Order: sequence, then structure tokens, then C-alpha cells
Amino acid sequence: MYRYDEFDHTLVAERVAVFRRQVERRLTGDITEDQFKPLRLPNGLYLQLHAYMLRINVPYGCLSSRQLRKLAFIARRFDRGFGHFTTRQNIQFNWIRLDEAPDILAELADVEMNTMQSSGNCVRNITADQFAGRARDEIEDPRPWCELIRQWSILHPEFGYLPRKFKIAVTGAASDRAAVKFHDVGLYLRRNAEGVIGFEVIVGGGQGRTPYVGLTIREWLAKEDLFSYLEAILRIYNLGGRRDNPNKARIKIQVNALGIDEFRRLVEEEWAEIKASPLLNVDPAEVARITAYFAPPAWEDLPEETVALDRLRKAQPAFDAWYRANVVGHRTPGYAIVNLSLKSPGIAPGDLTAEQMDRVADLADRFSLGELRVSHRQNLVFTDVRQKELHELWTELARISLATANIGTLTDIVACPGLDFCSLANARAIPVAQDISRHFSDAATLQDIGELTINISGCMNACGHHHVGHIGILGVEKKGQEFYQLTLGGSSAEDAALGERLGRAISADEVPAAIEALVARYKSLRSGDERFLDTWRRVGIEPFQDAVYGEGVTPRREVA
Amino acid sequence: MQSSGQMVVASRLSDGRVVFLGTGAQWVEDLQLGALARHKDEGEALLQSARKAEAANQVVEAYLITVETIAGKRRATDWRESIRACGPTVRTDLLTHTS
Repeated sequence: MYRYDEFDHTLVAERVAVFRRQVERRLTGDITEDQFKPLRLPNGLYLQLHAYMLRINVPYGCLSSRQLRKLAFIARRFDRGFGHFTTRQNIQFNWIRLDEAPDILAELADVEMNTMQSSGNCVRNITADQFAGRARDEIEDPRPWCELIRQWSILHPEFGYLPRKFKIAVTGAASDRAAVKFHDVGLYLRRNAEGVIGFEVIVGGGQGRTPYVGLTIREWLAKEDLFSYLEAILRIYNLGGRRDNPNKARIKIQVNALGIDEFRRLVEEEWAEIKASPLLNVDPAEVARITAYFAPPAWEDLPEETVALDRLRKAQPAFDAWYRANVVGHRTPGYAIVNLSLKSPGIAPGDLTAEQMDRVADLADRFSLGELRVSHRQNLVFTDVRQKELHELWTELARISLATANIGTLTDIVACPGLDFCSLANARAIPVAQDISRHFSDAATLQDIGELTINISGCMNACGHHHVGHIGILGVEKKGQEFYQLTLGGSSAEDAALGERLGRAISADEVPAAIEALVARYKSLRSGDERFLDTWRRVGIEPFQDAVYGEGVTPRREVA
Repeated sequence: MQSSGQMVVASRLSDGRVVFLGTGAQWVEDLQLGALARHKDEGEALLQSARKAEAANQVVEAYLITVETIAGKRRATDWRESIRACGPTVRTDLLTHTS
């Protein structure tokens, strides 16, 4: 993992001191709320429905056991004993006091964490494949590039006041586990025709009220040109992005308004001006220095444990179900990647208690070289588990309700905090997720259904990524009541797609039955091992409309 | 017996907690204990008092909400405000109070 150097320590310590003074000035009335708000937001501090909420960066999803213990301490000391992992690989605490917020930032600095630029109209936390550096389908570890981009973007003098927030994701794998095409800029590490690794650059993706799948602005970019090209994109956006309407201020609106060809022309023109600048060249020595932080650990020379694991899986169906759903192949023989599901039945997706955090930190030390990851699907990952210890780990995880065998299945639900916590929401998301997860709690049923993602958002801002769920659920409000709009066919993976609206919105009570009907229709239509998404793509919307609204009933498109 | 009125809700500056304007310009956490305006003029007077509290850096984002009283118990008529008053519906161990 990356470790702070003296510059990082100084920068973060100074930032904590500045924020402490800003909070003091607010509490004594030296500055007004209007003056304070632009100061607290870039430090990740929001005012939500019930209290202040603090969003803490987990850079590209990488977390050490020491850092997780600190988060557990913060949950206990400053919050109400739990935290919430988000769809941007961050963690949020919901019950923060303003007068204690600087103390929390100081605690975080002790373990090399911060909240800088976790909100505001700037470059946000860089996100990545949660299996980075361990995945079998990866051509290069994206984490050094994420760290380099993080350092380039933090307190960038030109991009601190962008028209709107700016999100960047990077992956080096063939399977897109980072929703790269739904970011303002997405980067795929790719080989060109000569076999040289560089970046395919995606621009203008995003969700919210105007969702777009990102478009390729450059098929291949040499690594040494990364910063100058990003600088050119950000500059064209900063100059031409709309500032008159926050709903139309993201780069996706600009790209769509201009068209990708014209946007590309502007970027290339700008790039030609600046690419030779030594300030923007990627220094190979600096790349090597940062890459060294992410060198593979000293893996032991271990055999594949296929026979022993097969025996255990045959003897214990529950272990077998967990193994199938939650364990992923590792690039090194004898090791495995393990997903810890934060989606046990009835639990708010992404929530983890302080006790669980402490226990997970202990287990990470014991089973995963002290390192873990946060996924954008609101789960945790142990990156380096010896295959011979999988059964023991499974037993330990089950004791703290983190061994639910449901990764990638219908109950691995992504959900935003919704109206239970968020001041922007129109409807609750968590109770809907809880109802669905209780309704489909049987592991064998989930296994039979196979890969099927559900994403729930409590409003059009789409923090629950409902546009890209195989089944998306959007909470809407109509005459003071909550309703839920279903979309089908979305995907955040390499086959990126936006979901299509199924029909009229339904009440919360009707959602589990509607999901049941959709699943039943899928099972009746699927061909062989066909996924839900592939069946949908083959047969289209009508059979699923019939399943939810009744045969021959043309669903109204308006809400409720 | 059912009646309705208005109250002022805000967030306390120091900790962000939801508070209601009570009598004597005090802020209380329990909706049941807040000052109730029966008429528009009373509501405006409450809001004026809240503006002073905002200027004095006690609270932020103060506004009027509508409440109804049924069998002696008040509740916010708007669902969002009801959640603000009572706390999240999903972590009942975290309820701010029993309104």
C-alpha cells in the first residue's frame, strides 16, 4: 500500500489545522453558514437529515487493518457505532458533531487517511478495481496510476472550482469491476498493436438524472502523456462546462452537447499546446517510486488446494455455496481472493458496526496480510487468503455475519442511504433492500438464479447506481408517498448499458413481489446458463412487463 | 380530535441535530415539546424568532413544517419531516426520541 511521505503528512496536518480554525470561526460566529459551507464540503462534511455526515476517502478502495481499527474507533467515539461504505469505495459516518469534526480529521491523519476533496466541485476519490494487483485477468496493476492521479489532482491549482464534481476510475483488468464507463473520465489499461501498455480514455460517462455511457475519446494513450491529456480534458471542461445549472454542469452534458468528435478536437488542440510541458510529463522515476509501494507481497510458494477444498465443499453445502459465490481466483497459486458480503439478510447494504470493523481488522491480519479492499458494490475484500485457510476464514466470518453467500447475486444489493439519512432523497432505499434480502435469503435459490444485480437509489441523483442494475429501483415521491420505478437491463461492467424503464412505479410493499415475478419470468425464459441480463437482451421488455403488470396490460409510463 | 398547526424545525449548529423551536426561544429535540403555531401570524412570528437564532449561530436551515395533532400526539404531516423528527426508520436502536 502507499504510505504517506513527509509532504503528505505535512499537507494533511496543515489541512487539519486550517479546518480546525475554520470550524472555530463558524462556531463563534466569525463566519456565516454561507461562508462556511464551501469550506466544510471540500473536507467531506455535509449537513444531512439528522446530523453532520463525514465522508472519508478510501483511496481506490485500499484499506489496511490499522486504518480499519481507526475507523472502528471513530465509529464508537464520535458516531453511533457503525459506518456505511459507499458506491465510491468511501466510508461515511452519519452522526458527526461539527465541533468534533477536526478531532476526527486528526485521528484519520494518524493512520494516513483524510477527507480532502471527498465533496465539492473538484476531482473526487479515484476509484479502481477492488481486485487490483491480484486479479487473474489484469494486464497491469492500476493502483500506482490511481495514486499518481490522486497526487496530481489534490489541491490542483486550476481545478479546485470545476463546474461540478469530477470522478475518475481506473482498471487494468479485462472484466470491468469499477464501472469505468460511468465516470467523468474512465481509464482502461490496454495494450496497443505493438503490445505496449497505455490507456484507453473514456469520457462523459455518468448517472444522475441524465445518465450516459462514457465514450472513447482516445483508443490508446501513452503512459507518459497521462497527466497532460487529463489536464487537457479538465481544462476544456473547466472552460466550457455549464455553470448556470448544477443539473447540467457535469462533463457528460458538455460532451453530449458538443458531440464526442468536437469535444475530442478541442481536447487534442489543447493537448498539443501543453503536452511538451515538463511540468506535465509523467516522470518514469516517480512512477517507479510509487509503483514500489504496490509491489506484490512475499507470497509463499503454495500448491493449489483443489482436492482438499473439493472435499470440504462436498461435506458442507453452506461452505460450498459461500465458496462458489464469494471466492475468486487469485493470480498466485495457493491463494484466493475472498469477498466479505456486507449484505446479510435484513442489513443495510454497506453498513458495518465498530465491532465488526475490529474483528475484520483482526481477520485481515490473520488471513490477508493485513490488507483489505472496499468494492464499489459496497462489500469488503480480503486480497491474499491462503486456500488452505479458506474454511477457517469462512467459519470466522460466519460468526460476525459476514459470510453470506451472495456476491453478484440478487441480494448483493447496492443501495444509497436514501431518505433515512440523506437530505436529497425522495424515498427510502434501505428498507426496500432489506425486504428483498429477507425475501430471497435462501442460498440455493440465489445460486439457481445466478448473476443478477439490484441497485436502489432514493432519488434521481442515483448514488445507488440504479441505472446500471440488471434490475434498477428508483425511489420517487408522489403526493407525499414513496413509490419505486423499476428499470431493467442496466450493466456497469464491460458490457455497459443503461436500464430501460419497465412501467408505472409501484409501492414499496409491491417491490418484493415484483422482483419475484421478474425472477420467475426469467427462469421460465432462460436458455441453459443464460444470465438474467442476457435473457433480457434476447427477449426484450414485454415478457417482463407482463410478469409485473399482468398479461396484455400496457404499463403507464407516468409515475404512480 | 384532530388539529393542525405549524412548527419551526432546524439543525443545531454545534452537532447538526434536529431541533424544534420551543417556547421562550429555546430549542428542543422533541417535536412534542416545540411551540405550535395555530395561525399564519403565529407561524411567521416563530420563523422570525428562528431567524434571530440563525443570526446568533445557534441553528442553521430553519423552516416551518406542518404538524397535525391526533389524540394528543403531534406528528409531521410530511413523510420527510416525520423521519427527521423520529430518526431513521431502519435503525430503530438509533431513534432520537419516540415522537
